[in-house]
Amino acid sequence: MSKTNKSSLSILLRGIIAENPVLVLVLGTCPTLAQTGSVISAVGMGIAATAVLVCSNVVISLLRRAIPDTVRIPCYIVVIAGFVSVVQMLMNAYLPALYDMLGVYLALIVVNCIILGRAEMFASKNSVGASALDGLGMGIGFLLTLFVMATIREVLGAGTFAGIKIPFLINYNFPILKSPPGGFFVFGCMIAAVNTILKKRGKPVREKAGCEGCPSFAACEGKFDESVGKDARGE
Amino acid sequence: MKKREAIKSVVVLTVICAVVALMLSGVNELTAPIIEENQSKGEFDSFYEVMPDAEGFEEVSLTGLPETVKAVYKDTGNKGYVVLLSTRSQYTGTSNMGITVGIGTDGKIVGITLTSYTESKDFGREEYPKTYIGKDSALVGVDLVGGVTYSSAAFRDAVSDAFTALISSGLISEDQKSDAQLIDELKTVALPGCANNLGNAMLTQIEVSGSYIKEAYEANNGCGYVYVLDVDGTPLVCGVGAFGDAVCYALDGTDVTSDAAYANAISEAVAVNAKKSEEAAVANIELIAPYVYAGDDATITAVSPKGIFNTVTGAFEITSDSTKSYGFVSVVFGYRNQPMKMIYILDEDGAIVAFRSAGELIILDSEYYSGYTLDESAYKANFEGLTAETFDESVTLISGATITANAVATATRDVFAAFDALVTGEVE
Repeated sequence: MSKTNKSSLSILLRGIIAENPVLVLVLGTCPTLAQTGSVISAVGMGIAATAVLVCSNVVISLLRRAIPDTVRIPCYIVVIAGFVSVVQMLMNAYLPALYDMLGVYLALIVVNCIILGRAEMFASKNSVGASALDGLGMGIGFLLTLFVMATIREVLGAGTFAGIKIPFLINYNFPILKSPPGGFFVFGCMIAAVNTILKKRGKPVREKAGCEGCPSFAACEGKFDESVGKDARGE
Repeated sequence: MKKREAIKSVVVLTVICAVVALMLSGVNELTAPIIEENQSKGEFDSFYEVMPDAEGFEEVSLTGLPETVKAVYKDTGNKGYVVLLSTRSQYTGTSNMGITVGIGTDGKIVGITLTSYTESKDFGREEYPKTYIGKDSALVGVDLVGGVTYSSAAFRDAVSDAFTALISSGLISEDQKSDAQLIDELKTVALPGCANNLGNAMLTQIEVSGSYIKEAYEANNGCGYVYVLDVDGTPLVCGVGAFGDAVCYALDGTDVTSDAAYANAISEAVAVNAKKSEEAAVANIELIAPYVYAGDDATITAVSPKGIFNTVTGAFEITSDSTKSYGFVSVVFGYRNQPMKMIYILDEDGAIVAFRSAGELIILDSEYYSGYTLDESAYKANFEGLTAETFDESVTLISGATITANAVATATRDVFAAFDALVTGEVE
């Protein structure tokens, strides 16, 4: 496999486990906890976030050389908000039931840390293709995490899967898993599980603060460019 | 340089905003019609719930509608109308109760649903509306819910307004009533005392024989009898009160009591149960005696106020050497249509000296009546000294027991009317 292909594949795959945005980077916690009570809303949220992530990464990567440093965050937000609005309108038109289910959390994708975080950390520094792959990988990681968490919470918490009743579990389940404390508990267990997997694979687990403790250390190649944001900081 | 950077920043941000705005307007052009169609379909969801066979709905523009009627929609397939109602006459009077009712072209309710209700006491938001299905504008047989009478009365009144809106606009017609329906309606006109709190006649059919009597009914509270007479093919409804007076109506509602053509029929109706009425009068003396405090030498004599067809079933003159007073027994229908015997002692001037209930307690069925404890003695004492002029129905109010309170108010009004008839010979 060529170096480029390997690199592309690694960009795509690292968002799934090694740099999973929810379980490793611990970003996007709010929609994760709010929308994993049901599998359908979790998948809906995951797909919507992925679409916004890919589109915004591509556009921001395309404009990365044109956007001045001083206004980069407002520009990123405008782009992200634009795509979120598009997703909202399309979902309201063609999937109104899902739109109602996601409610306010659909609009809150604008301030989802994953999207702004990847725009800032990756898309603003890499090519369009790589940025698209990164967005897709992160989105798939987000979607899979939400799906697994929603499956656990809905199956064990309500005895249903995507609304379909499961025999035995429908009568014997743990309703607390559907409530916020249960959500946090499942979330914590999943983080612990992923950390265990990563340790066994010899991947770095966040034990240090700062740059070196960041799982995305490799993404920015460990180089913290002090000139970035210098004007904004007034230096 | 810095200035150039600043200008560049502004221009880039503006251009990005403009492009995004263009993109959004384009997507909005594409999706807005679809979203609007989805929303209007959603709004019509409750309409299809009350009229599932409808093909579609279009709003009907009407004027002069009752306040509770917010909108009227017609089924494009001509199966009927859906009326959106909003009423505020609930217990707190601060929040709207939303109702959607579907009325077929035959003037009967095909579906009804409570779309919003925020009072704390539930009157059966799923079950209660279903009692209206199949009813026409008369809403015969629809009951209020005990303990939640404000809200259930508001519900009934709003549904009645829906019919008013459609009938007054000529969209549906009031049913042509059959003779049986007219006779049914005239029963409470001929003998008002036999009606419960909803105006339904509480009668039991009895067997009597007579030349003119087709059907005979006895009031469940003993306030008299209703007879359906046939005089040469002309049906009449005749009410005979507890004191032997009679009133007679033709099916069109005309009072034909003085019509010589029906005199024999009316006389037969009065005579057929006269003996039973006399026996009832004696029984009432025994009922009232324990409540008479006029001394051991008091004499209780049954009297007959004229023209009384209300809930008063017994009237008495109580005389002793020093005093003269009047006693009345009124039997009204309370909660769950249970007869409540009320005893009133009035002085010569018509002021209440004592108000008692036979059987001690006014609240006969305490299951529905929760949270508030009625001080029966204090409640009854509030009636003492009241006359027909000073009587204010607020004295009868019992929190959480509106049906009972209304029954007491009815009994009190009827007793004052009977006193007037007795003393002045006038009928109200």
